Formats: sequence, C-alpha cells, structure tokens
Amino acid sequence: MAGNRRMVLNKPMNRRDFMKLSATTAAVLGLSTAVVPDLCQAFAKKEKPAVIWLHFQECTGCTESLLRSTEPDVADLILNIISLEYHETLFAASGHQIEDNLVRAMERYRNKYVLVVEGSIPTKAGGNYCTISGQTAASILKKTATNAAAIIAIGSCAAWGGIPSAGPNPTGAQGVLTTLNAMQIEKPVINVPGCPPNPHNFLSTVVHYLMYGVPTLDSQNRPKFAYGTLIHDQCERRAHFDSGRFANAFGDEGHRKGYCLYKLGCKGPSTYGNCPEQGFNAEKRWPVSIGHPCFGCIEKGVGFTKPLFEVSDMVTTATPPQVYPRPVEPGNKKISPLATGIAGAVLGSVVTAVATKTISLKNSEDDTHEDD
Amino acid sequence: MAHVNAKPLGGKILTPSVILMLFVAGAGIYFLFVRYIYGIGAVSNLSNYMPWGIWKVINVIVGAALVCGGYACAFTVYLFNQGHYHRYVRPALLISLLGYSFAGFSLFYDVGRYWGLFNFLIPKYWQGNSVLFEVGLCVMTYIGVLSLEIAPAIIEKFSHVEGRLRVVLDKLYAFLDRFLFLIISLGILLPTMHQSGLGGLAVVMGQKISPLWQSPLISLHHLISCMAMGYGCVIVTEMLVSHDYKETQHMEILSQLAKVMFMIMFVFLVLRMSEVLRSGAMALAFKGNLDSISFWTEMLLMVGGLWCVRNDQVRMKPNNIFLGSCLIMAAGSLYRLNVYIIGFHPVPGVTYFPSVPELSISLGMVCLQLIFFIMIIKTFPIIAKERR
Amino acid sequence: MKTTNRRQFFKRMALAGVGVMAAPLLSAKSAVAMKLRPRHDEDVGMLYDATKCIGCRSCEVACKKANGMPFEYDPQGIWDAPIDLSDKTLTIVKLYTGDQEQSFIKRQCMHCVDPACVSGCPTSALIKQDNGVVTWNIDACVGCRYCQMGCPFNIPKYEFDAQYGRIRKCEMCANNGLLDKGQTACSNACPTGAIAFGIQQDLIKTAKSRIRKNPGTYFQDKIYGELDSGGTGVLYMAGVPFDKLGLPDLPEYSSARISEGIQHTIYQNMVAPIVIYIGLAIAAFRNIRKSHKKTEE
Repeated sequence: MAGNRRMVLNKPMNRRDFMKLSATTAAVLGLSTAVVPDLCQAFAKKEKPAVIWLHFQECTGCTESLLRSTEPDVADLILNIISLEYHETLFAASGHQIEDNLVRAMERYRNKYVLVVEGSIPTKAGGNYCTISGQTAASILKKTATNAAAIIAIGSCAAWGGIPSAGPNPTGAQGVLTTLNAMQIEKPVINVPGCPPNPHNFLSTVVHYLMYGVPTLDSQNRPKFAYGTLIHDQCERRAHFDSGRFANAFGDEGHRKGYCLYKLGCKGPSTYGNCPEQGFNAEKRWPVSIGHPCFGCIEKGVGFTKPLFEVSDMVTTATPPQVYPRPVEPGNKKISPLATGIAGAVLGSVVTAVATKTISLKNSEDDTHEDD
Repeated sequence: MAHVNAKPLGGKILTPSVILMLFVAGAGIYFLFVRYIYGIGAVSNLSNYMPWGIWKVINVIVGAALVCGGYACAFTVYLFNQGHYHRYVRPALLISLLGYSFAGFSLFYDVGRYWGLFNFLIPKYWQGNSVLFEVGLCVMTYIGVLSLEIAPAIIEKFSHVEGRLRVVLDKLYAFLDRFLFLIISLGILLPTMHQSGLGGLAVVMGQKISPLWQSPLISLHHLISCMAMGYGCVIVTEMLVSHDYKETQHMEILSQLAKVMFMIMFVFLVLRMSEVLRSGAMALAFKGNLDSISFWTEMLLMVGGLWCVRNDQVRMKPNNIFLGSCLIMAAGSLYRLNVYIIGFHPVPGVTYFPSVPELSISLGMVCLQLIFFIMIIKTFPIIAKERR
Repeated sequence: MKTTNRRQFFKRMALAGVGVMAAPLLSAKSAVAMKLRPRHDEDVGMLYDATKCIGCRSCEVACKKANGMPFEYDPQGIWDAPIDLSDKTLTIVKLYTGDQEQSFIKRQCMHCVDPACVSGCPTSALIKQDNGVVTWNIDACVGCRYCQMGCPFNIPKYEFDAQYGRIRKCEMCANNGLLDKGQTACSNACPTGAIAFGIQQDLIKTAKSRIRKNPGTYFQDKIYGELDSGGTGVLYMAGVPFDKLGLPDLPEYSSARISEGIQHTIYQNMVAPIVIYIGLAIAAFRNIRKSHKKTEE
C-alpha cells in the first residue's frame, strides 16, 4: 500500500510555513488568530480523514493550482493532514492496481471518507463521454457518493458544469450537486467553484469541515466565508466605479491609470467570490488588479456563458450614499409617539389637578359665604 | 428663630398617591442605571445640536426657579420685616432645599463626566469668566445655606433627646439662632446671583436663541420671574398642606403675598414686552410656527395669572390666588423652556423631543422630591398648625 | 403700617435692582466699544479657499488617520460616509448646490479669536493656547456641554454613545504632534492648496492679495472670519454667499464679549456682592432684633 501511495512531492513543511498557512487559513475562514493553535492541533492529528479524489470532465487545473501554490506549499500540507486514498494525478500506480485501491478504500472508510470531485459529469449518450476503467463518470460518482460522509465539488466544472457545460453543451455536462439530486442521493455537498478556485478556499473548507463540520453555505451550497460577497463590493477599484472613472479600451489612459474595468465587461457586479480580498499566489494578484476584467469564472450563468466583454448585470444592491452632505444637516432623531403621549398625559394631569383644586376652592369659598 | 407653632403632620406616609409616585420614581431610577452603564445617548434624545434637554432645562433650571419659596420668604420675612409670614418659612425652605438638592443631583446624571463636577472646587480649574461656573458655585453654597436654615426644624424634632447629644444640639441651635441674620443674608444674596446667572447662561448663546427671548436683560428677566414664582410657590405650598387659609386673617396674609407676586410679575411682563418690541422681534411672534405659539402661550399664562390676582377683592378669594399662582409659575416655567429648548435654534430645522427613558428619569426625580417632601412634613415640625 | 412697608419695599427693590439692571444695559454697548480680543502675532490658523477646493476629501482621510478617528458608516455599512461633524469626524467637506452655482465647504473648529466655548467652560477644559489654538483638556472637562450650546458654529461634539463621553473637535493637530512640527494633517494632504496653514496675520495678507489679484471671484471680496464673531483662526474665502455654505451671519464681536462684560460689571472683584451682602446683613439683623423685641413685649 505504501508503494502505491508514494507521494510525488515529499518535501516536509517547515514550522514557519506551517504557522503562516494556519494563520492564512484562519483569515480566509474569517476566524480570529486565536483559533490557530486549534488548527495546528487538528493538522497534527494522528487520525487523518480519508479523502477520495475523483476526476471527471476537467482539465486538472484545480489539482494543478493546488500543487503549484507556494509560500506556503498548500498541497503538501493538505497531503499531510488528510489521508489521500485515491488521486489519479498524484498516484504513481495505475490501471487495476489503482482501481483496487479505490474499491478497498471505499470499503475500509465506508461512510467516513470525504469525496472530492474535480470536473463535470456528462449525461448525454448514456454518459459515455467520460469513462474511467469502463465505468461512466455518473456511475462512479454514484458508487463513491453513496458511501461518502461529505462531498466537496472543487472547481466550477464540478460545482455547476464549468467549461464543458458552455453552450451548446454537447456532452450534457452538469455539476455534482445536480447529478446527485437526479440520482436522489442525499449527502452534504460543498461547492468550491472557480476556474481554478483559490486553493486557500479549498483548504479552508477542508479544515473547517474537519474542525467544525460543514461551513455555512449559501443557496448554491458555496461556503459563505468565501462566496458571501460580490466581487464588485470588495473590489479595490470600486471607488473609480463610484466616481465614474472607467477604462474605455484596453491600453487607453483610463486603463493605464488603473480605472474601473466595468465598461470592458468586468463581471464583478454579478459574481460572488473573494478574489479581491485573497488574491492568488504569493503576490496576491487577481485579474482586475493586473488590468483584465473579471469574467465570472465562479458564477453559473456568468462564467463561460456571458461574452467576455459584454457589460455585466448589476446584482449588487449597495448604492453609494448621497456623496456629499449638505451644508446644514440637522440630523433629527425620531420623536417617539409614546413619549409624546406620556408628556401629554403628565401635562394633562397637572392641568386637571390645578383646575380641580381651583374649583373645589371656589366651591368651598362659596359655601363659606353662603353661611353668612 | 421662627417661634412658630410647627408640628409634624403625622399620618400614613404610604398613601396611594405616594405609592404611585414611588412606581414612577422606580422607573426613573431603573433608567438612571441604564444611563450610567450605556451612556447618555442610550436613554435620551439629546444630540450635538440639542445638547441641553429636559434634564438640564426642566429638572435644573425650571426646577430651581419653581422652588424659590425660600428666597421669597427670606425677602419678605427678614428683609421687609413682615413677621406674620413666619409660618410659611419652613415649608418654603424645605421645598427649596429639596428642589435645589435634586437640581444638583440632576447635574450628576445629566453631565457626561460627572466625576469632574468636583473640579468646581479645585482652584486650578476655576474659570471666572464663565456664568456656569458662578452658577455652579452659588448653587452648591446655597444648598448648604438652605440646610443651615432648615436645621432648626430638624433639631426641634429631637427635643426629647438627652445627654451629651442634647448639649451639642442646643449649642448648634443657639449658634444658628445667633447668626441667623448672616445665614439669611446669604440666602438672599446667593439666589439673586445664581437665578440671574441661570438667565445669564443664555447670553453667550447669542443668536442661537430666538430674538423673542434673547436680550441683554435676560439675566434680569430670569431673576424677576423667579422672584414672582417664589411667591407663587409659597402660596401654593401653603394651600396644599394646610386648610388654614380658610381663616380670614390667613387669607389676608396670603393675599398680601399674592399682591407682591402680582407686582413683580407685572414688572416682568413690562420688561419682557418692552425688550421684544425694542428689538423688533415682535414680527416673529406672528409666523405661526412653534416659536410663536409658545410665545403667545407664555404671554397668555402670564396675563391670565396676573388677571386672577389683579386687585384686593379678587385676591381675598382662595381659588383666585391659587389659580393665579399656578398660572404665573407655569408662565415662568414655560419662559425658561422657551429660552433654552423651544426658542433654541442652532441651525434651521433642528427638532427635539425627549425619549421615554429621558421623560421617565425627569418625572422620577420630581416624584422623588414630592415623596421626600411628604415624608418630611409628616415626620418633622415643618407645618404650623393653628389651634382652633 | 402697610404704606410704610410698601415704600420700604419699593425702596429696597429699587436698590437691589439698580446694580443688576444698570450693568447689562451698559455692558452691551460697552462690550463692543471695549476691548475686543486682538489677534496675536504668533497665532496660527488656516485659510480655506472654497474656489480651489475640488471636494477630494483627502483632508478628511488625513485627519482621521492623524487623529486615529474611527470610521463612520452609511446606513448600509459599506462606505465611510459621515454626513456631518461628529464625535468621530473632526473635519468634513460638504457640498452646496444652488441655482447655477455650487461650492464645496470644509468645516472644522474655527479656533475663534474670542471663543464662546472657552468663555463658557466652567472648569477651563477648553482653553485658547498661546499659539491661538483652542484645545480640550480631558481632566478638566465635566461634560456639561455648555460649549456646545455657546459655539456659534456648533462645532464641539459630545460622545453621547459612550459610557464616559468626551468632547471632540479639531485641535489643529496640537493633539497629535503635527502642530509641533508646524503642520496640520489637512493642509498637508490638500492637493490643490485650498487649505493653507500659517500665521493668521500672514494668511489674512495672502487672502487679501488673492482677492486683489482675482477681482470678481470672491463673494463680496470678503474674508469670512476676519471680523466675524470677533474673528476666527480659520478663515474662509468663497465664490458663493457664506450663509449658503452654513457659515452664519454673525456680528463683529463674539457673544463671549457680552457675557463676560455683564459678568465682570456685576462681579468685578466681588465688590457688588459683598456690598449687597453687608446691606442685607444689616437689614436682617435689625429686623430680627425688632421681631425679638416684639415677642418679648
């Protein structure tokens, strides 16, 4: 078994990188740094959860981006905190050997393993557009998903179909969740879309799952800590958008000055993600920061669907406030009706009391003088 | 000293009205806790454009003016040698002491950095140009003076005590008796200073206060109206705590007080109207806005009060002098409310109305004063009872 | 008996009233005629030229940074968008749009020559420093907010939402070390030179020469704050009427002058109170002795 699982990479991770990675993971999850020691403990746990990683209609870009990340080396850490039982790219073995591995792993870690799926599942022509060792992607998914504890769909292809599903979608490619729903298999599915997704999003999802279970998901099963805000609402060029400074053509003055790329078709306003905050790679760059509009690779219906340079829909509901305040802004507080009522009641009772006393004095005065 | 036949009224303290007031006071105290933990903004509608609200204006400024009975009595009894007013002195002093003490306490929750109030006593921080500084010191001293003035009544309560305490009490009583004239003089000087000062506070606010009320004579306006309100306070207090006014001889005395009140308030009316006319602010009184409505209400209350006590005949009727006093006190109170809140316009368009917790604290403090007053007149020899 | 009392009463009322009455009548005029506080040669201030301001708000950002002020969010919680000066915002740029005209206006403490806030503060928490800057002292402040009531420009702001609130206003960077280096954060940040920092007398000269060189540009060729409210340390020039910009129309003396005039006339060296006190003590003594005699009879 050990030989089958010989790692392609086997650099040990040094402590500094380890701490950096833990801190980054905490940051991506939006957790305080106080959590870092717990994370380190979780990472160092002896009992590693088994992970089965399937590849379907994909380019392996998600795995590659994971492997290529440096400072710290994400892949190495992942491979140290999980027990990777099946991965076509990373495993040295092939053929029947690796397939036996898969069968044994599914048995051994039944209902305990995490299934990571990379790539979409074709449905046309009986699903024959993608077969591995004679089985269709759909049937492999069915077999592996049935006994999985949880499923992470990494990449846009696995999340909603991605590139293979781009019009006219000749293979009938669809995402993992859609496929499982059609098969009526009910398992927790976490989508981590992107093309590729930020490897930190994936790592943080795994860590969150290990420590706290499934993270809070949005309506498309994407973790909210990464996909909760629109790219437009966190973009560093937002001020230019709000002030009406746009690049109108590639290479023009506005483009050179770093103005907003909305008019060049940036899909930030209709795409949810954390690309502006997290960036990619060591330099923490993302497409807009280097002058290319976002094309919404994360978002179903936007990425690989809308033309690259077509102006985006505005999903954002946040509008800038009245830009400049007026010279005089009274800023009045609301007057509470209850307060008015109480004040009125007090005033009324005082008036009544005075009137009553006055009248009673008058009456007693009249009485006294009647006796005269 | 007073040499008045004053006795504790006795009787149950927890009457239904007192219990009701206790509830109101309780609510106020609860919100005070909230104020001290969460800050002023959590319990009030005070804002940066309206930083003074009902706590400062009603509990402190109006409150101090309404309880000027002690001041009026000091004038009448000790300055103008009207000896037959002695019986009004103690209740008036008590209500003054309570009113001013609570006005002082109100500052402790109204100001934001209440621990700093002791800076008023530290020479390093004194700022002699400030009217508020003078008012603060004056009020502090006056509360002390009032306590000394009412001390004899407290000491009399303990007339049955024997031994060393008796010696001390007797010495104290004799001391107070001997130096009464000095204490009383302070009791006239100090209110003159701080009541006019409470008006003088408005001078530095310049044109933020509507010309209907702002004037270089505003200190004088405040002083004179508070004198009148003081007489009104004595009359109302007397008529609420005892029925002796039914006796003709007492009505005569009360009607004398009402006459003085009439004359002083008349002077106030003349001074106010002449200032309003001189400055040309009269035009503002016809704009139909809140300022003008409040101005005319104030005038109506004043004229109405004056009308009730306009001559000797009507002044012999208890209902007239009671209503007249109430109306004049209301006019003076509304006047102060107008100067500092209703007529205060820092920028156009600012509105202010207290919030429920803010009102609750204000009302609670008033109720507490009344509760203390009732408790003390029932347990200490304050009210003079005529022998039938 | 009653007649005598009435005469006595009026005599004494008149006496008591004279001192209180005469003073304000005299002082309103005399305050003006008398010593208006002068600008000192070393007083520093700022000159804001609204015709040069482009509303970039770099001054707001620099001020927040220099003073460590927190953000103030719009209702959606996304933008740092204060709408007025507050306990979190010590300077703000506002915009006036009128009929065929518009102008930006930067507001902050005016550092008046004769500050109403300094005059009113009972515990010397607000003081006018030797260099003309009005600063706030946290140890002296009582939180009475009289400064807020007195300021003709409504500048001091109180932290109503804090358990232990402070008064906050621009202190011309005296509180963050920049003034010691002869700078203010806002004037440093201004890209167009709309805010100039320097000695007040020099700034007035600069302003006057600017007016001379640009006839018809500045509203009524006026420098707002040269004499308004007794003069201010922060001077304004604009191309539109000043009242439209929220700068009120004020007399050429500060209300502090009137207030202090009255106070000094009445309480100068405590002469009047002491004299009155002695008179009162004599009268009271006499009356008490008289009443004692009566009781003995």
